[in-house]
Amino acid sequence: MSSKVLLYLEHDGRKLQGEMTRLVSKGNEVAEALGGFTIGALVGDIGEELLAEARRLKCKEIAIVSDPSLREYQPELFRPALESILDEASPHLVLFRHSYVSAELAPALAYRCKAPIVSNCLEVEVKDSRIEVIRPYLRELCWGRVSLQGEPPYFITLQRFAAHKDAAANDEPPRVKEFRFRPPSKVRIRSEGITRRAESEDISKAEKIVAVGRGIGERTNLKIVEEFAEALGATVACSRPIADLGWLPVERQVGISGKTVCPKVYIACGISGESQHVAGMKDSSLIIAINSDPRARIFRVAHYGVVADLVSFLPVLTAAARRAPQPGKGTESKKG
Amino acid sequence: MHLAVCCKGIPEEAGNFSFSTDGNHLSFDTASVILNESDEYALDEAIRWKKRIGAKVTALTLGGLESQEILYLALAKGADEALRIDSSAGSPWEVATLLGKAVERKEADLVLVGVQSADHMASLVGGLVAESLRRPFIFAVTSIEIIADRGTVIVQRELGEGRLQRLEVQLPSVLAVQTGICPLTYAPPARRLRARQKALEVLDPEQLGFPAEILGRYRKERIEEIMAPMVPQSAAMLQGSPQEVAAFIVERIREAS
Repeated sequence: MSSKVLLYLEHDGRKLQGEMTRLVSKGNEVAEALGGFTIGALVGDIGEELLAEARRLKCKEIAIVSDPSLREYQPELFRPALESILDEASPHLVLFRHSYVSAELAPALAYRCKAPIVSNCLEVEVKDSRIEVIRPYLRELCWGRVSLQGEPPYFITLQRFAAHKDAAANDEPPRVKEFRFRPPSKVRIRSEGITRRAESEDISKAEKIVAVGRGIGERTNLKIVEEFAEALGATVACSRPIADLGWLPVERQVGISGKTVCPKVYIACGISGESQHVAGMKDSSLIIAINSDPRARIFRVAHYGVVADLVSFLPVLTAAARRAPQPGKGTESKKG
Repeated sequence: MHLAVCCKGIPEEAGNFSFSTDGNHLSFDTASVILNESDEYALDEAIRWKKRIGAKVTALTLGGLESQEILYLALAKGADEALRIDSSAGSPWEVATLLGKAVERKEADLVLVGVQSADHMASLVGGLVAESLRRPFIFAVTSIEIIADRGTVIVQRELGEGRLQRLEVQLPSVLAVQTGICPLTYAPPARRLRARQKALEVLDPEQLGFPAEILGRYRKERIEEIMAPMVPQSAAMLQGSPQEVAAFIVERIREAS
């Protein structure tokens, strides 16, 4: 039985995605339990810098498919490129970061292999050579322990805050194997370019952030949030639903699909705390969460929590902030 | 132009409800089923295209009788036809296999799904449906432009960390729609009542070519156990009068900044 663990090394064309070190650690941990080793799969128009970065990861092998036509991510080209590595390696397990890219590549490959796939996982374990994962259900109100049934390869996407100790893997540089890219005969998707979202204000530079979520209820209640932010000299940000509703511009959105912020103070008002949002703010120095639901997931990451109705509590907080002397007042960025 | 939208009924999160599992399904002790949020955006986007270019819209769901409510809502919002696959299949593999067959039968040019269901949280069904039909698939689509005479669709999609990609995709294809793609519409009660008069098509897995023993082969995962999240509540919960709590918070903010 093959016991190799294939890791998809996700990158943006220049740099590996930040979680790749942790993904490799997890891969090494699982490979050790299976009695195998890790292979990092690198697909793209791979330059020196990216290759050097991949070589520093603690994979046993790096498998590369590099071609100028793979300069920009495109699922219909990246999928067969990764498939050629998969065919050669025939791994027991294929691990991806849970991302916009793996949401396309992982199910496509799993379907083609008629293989089990579980996504959005928090943990992978090997139990008597069976693979089990822990993953969330129902807006993360509960977790499930799920076993994968049937023949390998097993496809798993790992959510980003599944962090693990660094495996005591080899310090030898990985062997590098190159694969030739065989493009598909028919290409039905054409990329017209990747851009970054235009921004008029960069919330990631703010030292204090007051973030608002759906718990605010009505659009007219945004005013009390803005007043509180102003009293504090803080910047107003939001979770995805508020940007989706068009109540605040998308550049103020914190989370995987928005901005990652790390202010000194983050005050989450009426934000439930789905992982999508938490990933973008969990490293803030002080997190205070105000929510009417005592079970809200945001209380799992906050330092201080208040169970309260925003509409009645925020004005009290605003009044207290206005009374307090404020160091550095006038140097903070104001809400816009 | 025929658009099919996969709509999932999810348990409404109300009060304290419990979870259980028989290994194949996750059951929630809750009374009502609501339309999954990102699927609602997919549905509204499809109906926008119906209004713009006269596309036909079929709403699909998979589930028991209770999930029919989702289809009545879809009809009230403007869907032309609705189909329920009468199945209790729970895993993404099984669900996608059945939905793929239904889409094939309906000969839809463009299939829209939401990016994620709030209950299963897998984001897999769209990709598996697409591959079962060997169609192109794009995830996290934030805008759609159907170019009917070219037989393509131009989409903008998210790649994460604020990166956006523009792609031209040949039809037929499958797109997973991100929340916020268009404003959500409201279906007034009168229209929802009228929608209940319309006929729904119901097919069982056998009629789609998947009797239970065959469908069972597509079940590739087993839920061994459902548990409370093992995340300690890290927050110190503040008690006291609103004024006391507010004063405490302001003091902590002052210290931290």
